[in-house]
Amino acid sequence: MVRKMFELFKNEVWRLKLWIVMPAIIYLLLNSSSIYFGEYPDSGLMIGNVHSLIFAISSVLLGLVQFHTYKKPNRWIYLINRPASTRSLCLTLLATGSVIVFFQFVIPDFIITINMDNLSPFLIEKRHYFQALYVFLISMGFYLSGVYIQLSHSRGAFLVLILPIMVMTSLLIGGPVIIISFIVMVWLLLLVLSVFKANTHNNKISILGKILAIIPFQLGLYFIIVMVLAFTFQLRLMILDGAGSEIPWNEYYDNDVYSHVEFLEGNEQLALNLLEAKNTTQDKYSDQMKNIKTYNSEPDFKLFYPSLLLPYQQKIQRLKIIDSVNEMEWTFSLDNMLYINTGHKHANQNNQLSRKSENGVITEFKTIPNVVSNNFGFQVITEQKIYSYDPDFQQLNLRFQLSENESFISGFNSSGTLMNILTTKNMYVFDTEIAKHPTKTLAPLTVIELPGAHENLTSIEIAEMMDKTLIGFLFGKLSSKGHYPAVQIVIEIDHSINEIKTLATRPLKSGFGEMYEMMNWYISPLTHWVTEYFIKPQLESDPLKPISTQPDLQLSKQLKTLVFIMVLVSVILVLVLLRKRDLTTIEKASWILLTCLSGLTGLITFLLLTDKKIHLNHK
Amino acid sequence: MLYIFNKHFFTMALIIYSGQVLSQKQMQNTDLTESVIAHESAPIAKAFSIQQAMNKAHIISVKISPNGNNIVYVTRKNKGVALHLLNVKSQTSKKLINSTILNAINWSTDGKILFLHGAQYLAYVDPFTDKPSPKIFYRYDNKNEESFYGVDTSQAQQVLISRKVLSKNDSTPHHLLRINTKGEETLLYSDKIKIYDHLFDQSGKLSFIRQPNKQEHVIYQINDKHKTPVYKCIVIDKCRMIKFDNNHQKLYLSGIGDYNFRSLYTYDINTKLSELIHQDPEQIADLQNLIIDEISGEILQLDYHTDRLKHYGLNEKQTSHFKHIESQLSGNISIDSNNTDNWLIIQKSSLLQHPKYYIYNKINNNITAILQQQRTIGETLHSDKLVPNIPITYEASDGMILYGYIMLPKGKKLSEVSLLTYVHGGPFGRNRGGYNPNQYLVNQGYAVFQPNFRASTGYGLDYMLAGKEKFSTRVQKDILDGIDYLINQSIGDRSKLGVFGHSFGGYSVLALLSQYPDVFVAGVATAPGTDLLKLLKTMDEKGINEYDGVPLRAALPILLADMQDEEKLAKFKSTAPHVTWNGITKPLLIWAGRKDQRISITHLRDYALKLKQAGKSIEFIEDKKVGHNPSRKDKVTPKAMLFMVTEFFNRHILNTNTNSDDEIDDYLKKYRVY
Repeated sequence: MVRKMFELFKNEVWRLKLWIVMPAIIYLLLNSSSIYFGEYPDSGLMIGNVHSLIFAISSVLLGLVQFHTYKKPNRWIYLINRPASTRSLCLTLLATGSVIVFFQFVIPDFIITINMDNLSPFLIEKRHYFQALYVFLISMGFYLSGVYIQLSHSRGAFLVLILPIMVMTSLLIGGPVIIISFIVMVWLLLLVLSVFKANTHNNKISILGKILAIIPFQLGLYFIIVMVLAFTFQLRLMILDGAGSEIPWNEYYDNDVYSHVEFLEGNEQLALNLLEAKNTTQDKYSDQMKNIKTYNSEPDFKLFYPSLLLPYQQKIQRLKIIDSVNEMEWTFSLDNMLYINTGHKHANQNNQLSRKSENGVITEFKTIPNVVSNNFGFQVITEQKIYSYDPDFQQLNLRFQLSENESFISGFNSSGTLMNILTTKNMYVFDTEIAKHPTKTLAPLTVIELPGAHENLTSIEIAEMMDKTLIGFLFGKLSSKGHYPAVQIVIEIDHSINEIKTLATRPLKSGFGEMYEMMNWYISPLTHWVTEYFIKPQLESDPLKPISTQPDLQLSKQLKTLVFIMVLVSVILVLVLLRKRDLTTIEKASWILLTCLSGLTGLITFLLLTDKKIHLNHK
Repeated sequence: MLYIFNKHFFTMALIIYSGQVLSQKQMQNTDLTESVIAHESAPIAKAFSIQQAMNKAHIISVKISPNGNNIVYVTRKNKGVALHLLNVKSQTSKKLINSTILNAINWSTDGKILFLHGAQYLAYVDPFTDKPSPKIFYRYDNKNEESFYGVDTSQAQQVLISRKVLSKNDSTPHHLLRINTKGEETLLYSDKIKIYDHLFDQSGKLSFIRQPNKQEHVIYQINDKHKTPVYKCIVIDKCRMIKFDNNHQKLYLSGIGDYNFRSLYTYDINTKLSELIHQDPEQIADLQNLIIDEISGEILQLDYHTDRLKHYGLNEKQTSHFKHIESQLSGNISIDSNNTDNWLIIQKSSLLQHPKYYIYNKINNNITAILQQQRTIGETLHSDKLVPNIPITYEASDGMILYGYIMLPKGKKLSEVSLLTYVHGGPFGRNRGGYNPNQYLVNQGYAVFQPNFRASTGYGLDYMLAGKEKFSTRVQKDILDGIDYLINQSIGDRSKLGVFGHSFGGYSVLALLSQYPDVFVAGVATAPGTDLLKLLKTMDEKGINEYDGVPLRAALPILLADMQDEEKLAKFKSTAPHVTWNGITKPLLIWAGRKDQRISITHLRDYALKLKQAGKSIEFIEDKKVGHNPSRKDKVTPKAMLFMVTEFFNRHILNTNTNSDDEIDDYLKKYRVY
């Protein structure tokens, strides 16, 4: 039997031989140009996306084409009449696909990496070799999706693509993609097995197959609905309201709405905030506010420590220090956990750059640091320490250190004669002139406790007035999801006496009510739960400790009522439709339970997955 | 008798004064015998650090109100500055505001408000209210080039802005604007060419402007926005319009005109004749500063910097006030005279690290010290640690009378001390006496000579142009003549001579060390030119403009050399340091700024490398972040540069160690190339 399976495997490979050659050539050409431009070993997300697109298109097509053949009755009968189990047959065909994927993408990737490791000056590490594994897993994910779409009789089968797309998204946001793509591949494999078996058993899909299908169906529907709504909303704004004239985005909202304030420019945010201040304060600053220039700062990164960082993901982490003064660059080596001199004229990979201990010995970083570059120069930031790169000494100087219970969420930001840095708890203000001297550890001029949760912090506007400094905080990043309130707070600093005063607090409308239709159409508590806890766990290794100084926003009564009514209607409809479905009692109960949990998407999933009986090659 | 300084200070002041009197009367070599005796018999000055030598004054700026009743002053804070108001009569002071962005202040013409300048804003504050609150009335337009052009003295509370519109569509992109405290602007004039000076008539209408052409400065009369050229000043004479006498159609100007010294003169628009109004009575110095009463148009004060800053009025009464003040206060006295009873006096002196401030009451001739307490906040060097900067006059070997200053260490046999020569930059600049951080070198035991060799400015046109074509030769000889003169005055040991200087001063160091290799023991050249001709041509090509818009190339034939005379040019070129470098035999330190727009870093690298490869004793320091000069806010570089000079001479001449600090050590570790 094994020999016959091998024959099937061999014939299948031979049948699809062109599928190995063509994508492999395209992939090799693409990577050759990447190498030519020096991007391959530290390829950014864009390269990663282009690659993923090739894997996606090629692999989905492979799955569709390979199994399209078996839609023909004679081919199908020829296949299933072999003296082998359906699982063996299915796995043999899938093994063919996996071998093709391996030769298409994995082998070229591996060869390129080995070559670069031995022949180029680029820093090639374990993560570069792991990239081949990712390439295999993501390609298999798309391939299996293609197979599933071909074999499934459901009209919504294409929704299964949401799973490999999620892996790609995880790549974009820095998730542990190897693990996720492996889980997704196994998931899809089980789905394909279940649907393959169903084709030989009168289209009877097992309970496991149904359960496995429900989640991608739910997610896919959710994203489609959100996109349609967003597009409709956008279209309405552009075509109907805009009527051909250019209207700033924020002008569609009242000025006390978060989305309006978020997009205000210049000093408008601060001026608006000051409207809530006392009359005397307003009078005091009204003349200055007309002309004042403000500087914006915002939390610009999150520290995270994935177990394995693919080259595609390193731009997220920003691992390079480009020393233009000495025409050299430093790349963070994940194998060594310190920077190594790479690229450019004076590359010498024996040169290492890291933290210096008191006795001058170079010590490794404990976690992967983040590199931020602005007019303050290159800053290397760990959870609690920020270093500046000194091109003169080619060393990292410790500039500022936090206590254990807070973390950096930005590098040094310049704001006139002042500089600031944001942490999960505070905003530290420094004197720019002193901060520019790179050797000394800095002492802040002023420490301002963040007047809200750092996760909810959108931006900070700093205005150095003639006599005082005003800082406007805009909170509301998470308010549309109902986590925290949207609010503007302006404080005043008198540097001469180091006095900090809150001048005005301006609550803003946000949360579900405001951007409801556009951004967060939470059709059911389940989809809400999925977006919050299913997508977010990709960042679970995020070390930031949320510190909320404001209570969470409660859902409004109207919203709760709306959600309840929608869920109720969905459940009623499912109950009505169940009468016309040929399902077991357990299956019926499961659909009712799912709809109770997921509301409208549960209803739509029910409609898509419980259609009329369909037999493979019926007739 | 006003008791202003301690006894020691007063003695030193007398020494300076006696030297001045002597030099005025005889116009020959200053006899320094008494100064030498006084210095040698004085106790050795207590040591101070480089950091102390560089200390900044607590009071940054002081301005008297137009009515003379109030003083506004700015003090340094930990972060930013504080603005205060002092009532002259009651001597009570109140803080107005703190600011992190305030750069400068001006009283409005009516004296009722203060204009505040930040890098990006113009604001004003009423200093007489209980709770002064600044109001920003104008923000500089980032889309165009804008700069503050001064308070509009023809208006009560308005300022002037110069704007260059960067849009290519504007055929007259240079605008002169008047801005009121509401931020409303009035376009006074617009043209293709920038306006560098202006004059309003009594109604506040623009009546004259000065603009450059390719060769000279042209003064135009404005009639209904049409301009008519009325007068021209040569390229090196940035003549200033003072007032216009409408009755006699005479334009008052301060400039060189047809004279040797920068003077006050009139130009009759009808007859085209000039008439001299005032010139330095001593016939030594150019007119440096002039004060006019904006309301009456009366010229109140004319300042000339000879051996010290001297003040004159156009009438005897006014002059007698100035002479009284000068007799009471030593050093360089800045007087802000006006048509009120109180004048502000700022005293700067080599014995004062930071200025002192006084009010002079014209009625009772009293000089009252003000802001004494505020002045002592922060650290200022005590005058007994400092030495006077003695003005000297000496005759060069070709008979020309030259000027300069000398600082002598106290309590040492001066004929045995090391004599260092500090050559000023330019060369079209000058030493002015007063306090400078070279006091640290004196404190270390050196005598420091600061020659105003020919080509220096401030002593008339002939003096300045006497160095033309001879910058590597006769000008250098002037410096050596000065050293000879000092050694003849028993100052300095001929075997312990050192020379240092910045920019042209550095050029001079290279020229002296290569042409007179046996004279000096060591030299320090910071940002030195190695080829003056090429340097100035490069500056011209880069558009570095020092003559109010007239291209530098127009000034070169006047200042530098006849550019058509190949023979002279060849001689000039053949004596430049980049040609004579091989003559250097003594240790040399070169400091260079990588971002220097004037002195190409590659030239200096090549120059230093040539010396190094030839086995000369050369040290080279290249600051990667600095240009021709360190920025005003840079606290480390000037300190490190002073240390480099001191340490180099200590090592090569005195064979002693020099104390540094962490910042200096870091600096040298970073930037020392070899």
